[in-house]
Amino acid sequence: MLFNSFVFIFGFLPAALIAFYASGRWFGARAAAVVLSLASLVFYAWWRPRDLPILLFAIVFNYVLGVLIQRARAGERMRAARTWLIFGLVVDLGLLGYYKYANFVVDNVAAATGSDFTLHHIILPLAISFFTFQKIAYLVDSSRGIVRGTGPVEFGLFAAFFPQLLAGPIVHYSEIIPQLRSPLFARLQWRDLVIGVVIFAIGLAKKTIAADTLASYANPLFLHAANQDWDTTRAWTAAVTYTLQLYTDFSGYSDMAIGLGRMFGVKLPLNFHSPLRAASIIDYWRRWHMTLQRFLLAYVYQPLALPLNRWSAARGFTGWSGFAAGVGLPTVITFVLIGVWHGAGWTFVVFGVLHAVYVLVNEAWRERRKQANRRRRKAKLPPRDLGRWEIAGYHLLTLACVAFANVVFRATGLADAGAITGAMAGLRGLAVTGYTPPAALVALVAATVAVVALLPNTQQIMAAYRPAVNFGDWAGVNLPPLRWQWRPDTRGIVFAGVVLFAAVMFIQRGQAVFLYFNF
Amino acid sequence: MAAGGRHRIGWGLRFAAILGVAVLGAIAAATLPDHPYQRWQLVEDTLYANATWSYERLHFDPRPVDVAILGASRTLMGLSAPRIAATLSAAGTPLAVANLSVIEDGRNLQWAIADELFRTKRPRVVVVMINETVHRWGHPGFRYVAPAAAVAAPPDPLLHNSPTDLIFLPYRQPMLFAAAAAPGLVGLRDRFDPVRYAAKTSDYSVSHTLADGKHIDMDRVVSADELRAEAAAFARIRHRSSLPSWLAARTDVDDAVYTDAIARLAKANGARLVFVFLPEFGQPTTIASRARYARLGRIADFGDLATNPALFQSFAHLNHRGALIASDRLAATVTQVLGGARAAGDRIAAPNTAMTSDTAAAR
Repeated sequence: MLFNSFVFIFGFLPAALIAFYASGRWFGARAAAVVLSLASLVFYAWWRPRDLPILLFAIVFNYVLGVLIQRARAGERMRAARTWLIFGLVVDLGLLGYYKYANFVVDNVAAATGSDFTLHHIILPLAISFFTFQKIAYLVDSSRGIVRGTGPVEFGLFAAFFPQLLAGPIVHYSEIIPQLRSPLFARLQWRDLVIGVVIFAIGLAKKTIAADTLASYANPLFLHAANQDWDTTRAWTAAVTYTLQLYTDFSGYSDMAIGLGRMFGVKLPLNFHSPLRAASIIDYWRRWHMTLQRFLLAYVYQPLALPLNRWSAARGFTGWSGFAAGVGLPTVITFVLIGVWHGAGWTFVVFGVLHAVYVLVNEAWRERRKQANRRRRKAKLPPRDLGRWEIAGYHLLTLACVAFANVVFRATGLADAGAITGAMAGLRGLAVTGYTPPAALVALVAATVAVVALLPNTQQIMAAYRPAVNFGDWAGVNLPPLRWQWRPDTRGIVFAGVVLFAAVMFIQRGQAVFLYFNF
Repeated sequence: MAAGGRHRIGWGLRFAAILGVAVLGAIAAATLPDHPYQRWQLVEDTLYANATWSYERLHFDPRPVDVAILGASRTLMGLSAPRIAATLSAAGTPLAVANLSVIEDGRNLQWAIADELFRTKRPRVVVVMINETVHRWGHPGFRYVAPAAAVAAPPDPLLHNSPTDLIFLPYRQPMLFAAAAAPGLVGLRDRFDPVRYAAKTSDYSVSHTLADGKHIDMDRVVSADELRAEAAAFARIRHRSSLPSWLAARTDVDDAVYTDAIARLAKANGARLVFVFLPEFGQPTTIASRARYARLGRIADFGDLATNPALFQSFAHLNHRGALIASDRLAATVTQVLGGARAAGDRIAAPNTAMTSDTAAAR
């Protein structure tokens, strides 16, 4: 079921809210959790019921494994805990690998070896990339002793909770379960409902008004890209339009998820914090799809970087060789994983490699700058601050790099990606095709850029009500040039009502699937 | 409940107020005026393009419409207005015929076209398509082209499509309002373009290309086995009602509600109704609700065509040869129907010399 559908907004959501709070009032929080879990399963199965057994298996299997790991750990049987963890990871990743990568691997092996072996087309179960990562985090946290004493009902809800089920935010057990155990859980708080509706409305508006409008321009540009005539103007138009579409689409979805969670009294973590306002690629990745980054940082990058740093130090690697071993290798692995997490295709590999290169260049630049400032300190000089124009230049450079990589991300194949990126790099002339972006698109892009650059993001608008579980970490970060906070006064109510009305009405233009549902 | 002592109303009331503002906004938006011609252009570049042509035919084409055909793709492709006009003329009853059918079933859209028809023309016969089964729901194009009042107040508010049609208005009306204020903004014309109109297809019984780029070869002849295979494939994807029968009896009655409405319009304007049945190949030819249609008008049942594969372009549509046969038969039925009317002094006695222009426009 799509958040941006009438059946969800006027059917499922009100029914789920009423059933949840009514069962909470009359039968207690445990009953409410069961009701919400069942509703979440209905939500999941609505689109493709045949995927439901896979989700149910993932929930039951990981719950049982989690309990076994926790018991082994409690009994100080660390070897058993480790064995169960490895078994769980193998099954979870095996399932993901089969559904997501089997076709890709077999096709490429066949192409490389000249074999005519083919595999039937495997249909990717909805949201498997998201719920697999969530379960892996749960198992690893169980083995680390972070998670203890899981009950089946609370785990079922944690694993199936519909606002985050299909496309995140990828939640950690430790940030959700305490809320489910709170005495306020399943007790109707109108305040949460109001705040949730406002956040949901803003997210829905981002999706239906901004993202879908941008998509109507971006999609034709990317269609059969390799066969189109490209020049720099057309290529950058496609890149910028798609970058804005991707951001408004996915951040809109995340806002909706956060708003929906809040309606049920559960605060979810932030997934975006104005990443397009970042002045460096490292900062960008801290603020883009934040819950995926923190997952990969905690469960891939750090476990790789720590031993590699020790290894390189033990071998006396310093300077660039130490940097390559301790930072370069884990960064490349992490970003290639980010790429292929989005899909099985060479474009996603190239996307990951591109961002790894960006990040490493950024890391190296940062290191050089640190060294330069160290030398200045030794020379009793103040550290050199970046000038306004220099910062603006870094903003633009970051955005250009992001847009460049996003073209590879969006392209249906390397040939398409090559055609567009080649034109972006100026290899096909500046304006040889005579393409000029439509005036409406120019106005749309300008308006979206102005909103993104100048106005507060959703959590900054809702800052007075701690909209996300980790909002405290981001409350003071990158405050916008124009500030406005939502308040439940007349102006705020009218704002919320108008945004809600406009966002719902734009659903009529056609319900477009969220881009991240493909992953 | 006060929040922080600063706000007087509680959060529950604020929640209601937000929803109230949204609903009021929707109502205000839905009541914005529009330009009807622009409304009918909303489907111009879609499979329902003949709805726009129909509006232009009725409002901007000075030729009369003596015989109007309302239906879906079966009548759009299976009845040739020029052929019917020519046959009528040859039989000494020269009449202007317009095929106002629009692809896809849905009686409400046919009613909307009939409503425009009787506002501008004085048809003597209205031919309405019927199927072997009664189509339960409204037409997807209705919400785009029907007047806001007709969408907001359907004959029965419990009809399956009514809620989704109604909720479309707050989106449609602001767009049309903007289009009326600035016609170039959303690409809708505020003036009739005769050149564009003349270039449009009006006879779909000959080969044509649809708005989605699909070329329809009306001279196609395929084997009976192929037609059966097409029918079987279509049957597998045909949408069936999942509603309980007691609810479906209230919601899935679009055909009855709007057929009655068309009949009332016809009666009020002195027009006769003819219900035409064009079968699918090899499918049952028993007309559901036949008795109900028979009470409202004459039934032209061409179910016997169902056995001849040489007359079908696809399992559901006659080819050009089949269309010519069906058109000739319909012309005969119209002649019979009007025979009584003419005897009673009907104005049809005055022949209409412009009747063949449809043929010219189509070709």
